[in-house]
Amino acid sequence: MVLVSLQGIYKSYGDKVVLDAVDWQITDGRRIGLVGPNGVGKTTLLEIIAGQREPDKGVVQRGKGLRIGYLQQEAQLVGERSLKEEMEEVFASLLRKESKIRELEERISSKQGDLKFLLKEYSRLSQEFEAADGYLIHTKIEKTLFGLGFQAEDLTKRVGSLSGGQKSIAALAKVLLADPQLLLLDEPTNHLDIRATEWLERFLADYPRTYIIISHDRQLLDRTTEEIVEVEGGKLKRWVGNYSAYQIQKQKELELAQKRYELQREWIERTEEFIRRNIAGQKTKQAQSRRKLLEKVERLEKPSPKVRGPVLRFDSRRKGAQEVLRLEKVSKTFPGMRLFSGVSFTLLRGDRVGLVGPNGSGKTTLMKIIVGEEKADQGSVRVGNGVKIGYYSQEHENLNRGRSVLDEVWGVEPYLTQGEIRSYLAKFLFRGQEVFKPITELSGGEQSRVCLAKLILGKPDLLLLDEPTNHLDIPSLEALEEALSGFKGTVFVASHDRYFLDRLVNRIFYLSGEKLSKWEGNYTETAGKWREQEGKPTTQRKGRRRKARSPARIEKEIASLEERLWETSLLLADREVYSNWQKLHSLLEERESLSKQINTLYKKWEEAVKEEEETV
Amino acid sequence: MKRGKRYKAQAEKVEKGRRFPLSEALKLVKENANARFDETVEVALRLGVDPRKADQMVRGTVVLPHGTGREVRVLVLTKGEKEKEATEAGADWVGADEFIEKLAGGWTDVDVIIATPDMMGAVGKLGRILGPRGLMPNPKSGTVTFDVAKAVKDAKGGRIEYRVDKAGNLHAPIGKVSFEHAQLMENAKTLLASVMAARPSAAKGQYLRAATVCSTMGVGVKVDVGDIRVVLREA
Repeated sequence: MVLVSLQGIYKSYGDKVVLDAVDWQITDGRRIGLVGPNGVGKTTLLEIIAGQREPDKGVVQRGKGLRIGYLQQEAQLVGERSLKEEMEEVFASLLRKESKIRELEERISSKQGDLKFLLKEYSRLSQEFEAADGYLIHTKIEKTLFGLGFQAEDLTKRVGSLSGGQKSIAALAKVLLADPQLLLLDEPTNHLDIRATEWLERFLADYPRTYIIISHDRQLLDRTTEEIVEVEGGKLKRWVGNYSAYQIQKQKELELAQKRYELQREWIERTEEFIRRNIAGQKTKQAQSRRKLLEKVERLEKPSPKVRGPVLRFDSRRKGAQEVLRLEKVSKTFPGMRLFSGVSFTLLRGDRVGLVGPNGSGKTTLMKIIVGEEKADQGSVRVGNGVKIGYYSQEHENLNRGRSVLDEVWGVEPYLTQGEIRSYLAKFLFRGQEVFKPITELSGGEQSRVCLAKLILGKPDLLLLDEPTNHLDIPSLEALEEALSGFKGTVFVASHDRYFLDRLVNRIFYLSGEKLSKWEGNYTETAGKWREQEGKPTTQRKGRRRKARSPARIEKEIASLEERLWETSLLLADREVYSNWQKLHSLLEERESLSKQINTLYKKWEEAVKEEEETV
Repeated sequence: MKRGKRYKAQAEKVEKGRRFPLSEALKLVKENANARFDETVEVALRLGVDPRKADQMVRGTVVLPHGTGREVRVLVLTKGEKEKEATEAGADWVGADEFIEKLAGGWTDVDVIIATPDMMGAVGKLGRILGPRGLMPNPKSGTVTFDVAKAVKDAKGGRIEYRVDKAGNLHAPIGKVSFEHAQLMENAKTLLASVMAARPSAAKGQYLRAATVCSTMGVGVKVDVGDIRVVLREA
């Protein structure tokens, strides 16, 4: 069934044509990822589908009574209602039905009116209510909100009092709850932490209806889409498969086009040479006919390689200490909320660490403490001797919005000439007059590029990156990944982009519940471990550790292990065992491991006894 | 899908792709059932309705002539003289406020709740607890009535409630494998006749699209829909 049909859609902004004679039929049950570089017209296309923007030319036909849910980029809920009331608004007609049912129940029990009629009406209404999943309204609301990271106490909070990120997430929740037949999501993961992104992934995987999603989260696109529609040069191109499949197909197509182009070029050269040699000789007729052929042939355009991202390269001065950064027992509390306490870690030169944790766990604050923008309540931060820090802030706070792109970047290295700065900026896709644009007029992605340009020019040894992937389109993101992989210095990055973390880091710091835990490996390798740890209540963990430390408990363990050791020595004397080499081998191995365990336990016992004496 | 040895052995006995006459299908189900307990025999129907539309909902109750073979626990919410009537009819629990409080506290260890209309004001407040569990009394299913004795007897004596799910399928038990073949046949006919009678006028095309019978742990046996029509006509 066709939900929306676009025919000959044309849309331009000034002299820039974003959609040029676009035809598209969106049918039921499709899971589409919409990709393309920043500013290519993806959002415009979604707006046209949703009916929020009119095309300059062309026809848009939507199915009769089609329910479209559209989440705009950076959409936020505002108002005086509580979060729960705001979500209930989606089910307004069902809730009205419910109150009518309650009213009827009262009338039935107090016998107001004709009982037969009342019962019939009650039966009809309750059947409709049940069929529309009326009893599940509150379960659905809670499931969605809690899945996206809200807590029970947030339900009664005023929407207006929520943080910016939370308002966006609430807007997403509202769109999802409405259960539209066609779901349009424009960068839904911008404010989601990893847990919420994964929840959204699972939600979409089970979503039985059609959706179109614009996202720079490649893992999300990989896991939730079955086809990719690419917007390029005002046209749409459809690719079957998820994002990874699209990349492979695109690469193959590019190689094929390149080959075709080269073959044609060679043929043209050969033919031209033939014509040149023979136009005045015996074969002049052949040459003339080939000339005609050459004139008729449609020349292939040289295929341009994939959409270009900025050219990024991080150079560190490679000076400074081996120990780049050391944090000791750092704590931070905001009024009414303790963020973290006792955070200690050391970063060595060349370390690549990813910082993850739920929204509001204090990742940004920790970064700010390191660069000195915030003060820690307790503990010390020591930056290695001669280490230069480059900080990329999530909200681009360190951009001077009154200045132009050129001035802003020039400020970092004032001794360079204007020409040098402009050619440097060209690598970041700021060309021609664009370098004179004021920062305020730039899009989120462009601002990110200015931040990166400043960062790279400063030649830092330690990069502190706070959500660098937000706002960046996929080509820019890939360029950033490549640049960071080649960076010789230290990287400490807070990000919710799992694909990015997987490719870049080899350690994960997980900040949650006031504590920082450290794990060796990239995101995918460690995710299971820190989740498991998080699942257990802290008090229980403490309790268990204390128990393990008690000498009496260790004594018991030693006794049981020694008993087993004694048993094995008896078994060794058994004829049946010593005549069977397999049994013998396994027994000897067991004995070795038992002795090792006993030795470790003795050490622990000594420590435990010492600790106990000290506490007494 | 990976299947167990028991399932494979059973599946071999049922000719793949064949639609069996109802009577033969029930025989096969009975023969195949070899779990260590008395399995329930179930009927699954695919109906040509769109249950998302309110006027195409298929729902109803039917009293199976030989019961379901299962002990049904009945709670009657009523006050005054009706209490005695309900107790005499064999209700497991009879009362008003104490049970409403208990239900509000999360107790739902009951299969059927019957309420007299005068109790509806109080019962309605439990909608969010009872509704999702399918326990909410409803006049259409005969659980909101002054005739509590009949309602209790029906519930105890094999009354089942059926309802089409979101995908247009309907499932209902028709007895146990320990039942005689004739008993299962009669129960099946009664259920099918009731479902056919509940056909919504707004339903388009063929109403009964497919039917399958199975036991709790047995393989499904597809039933010839044409044969069902013949059986019902004869009955």
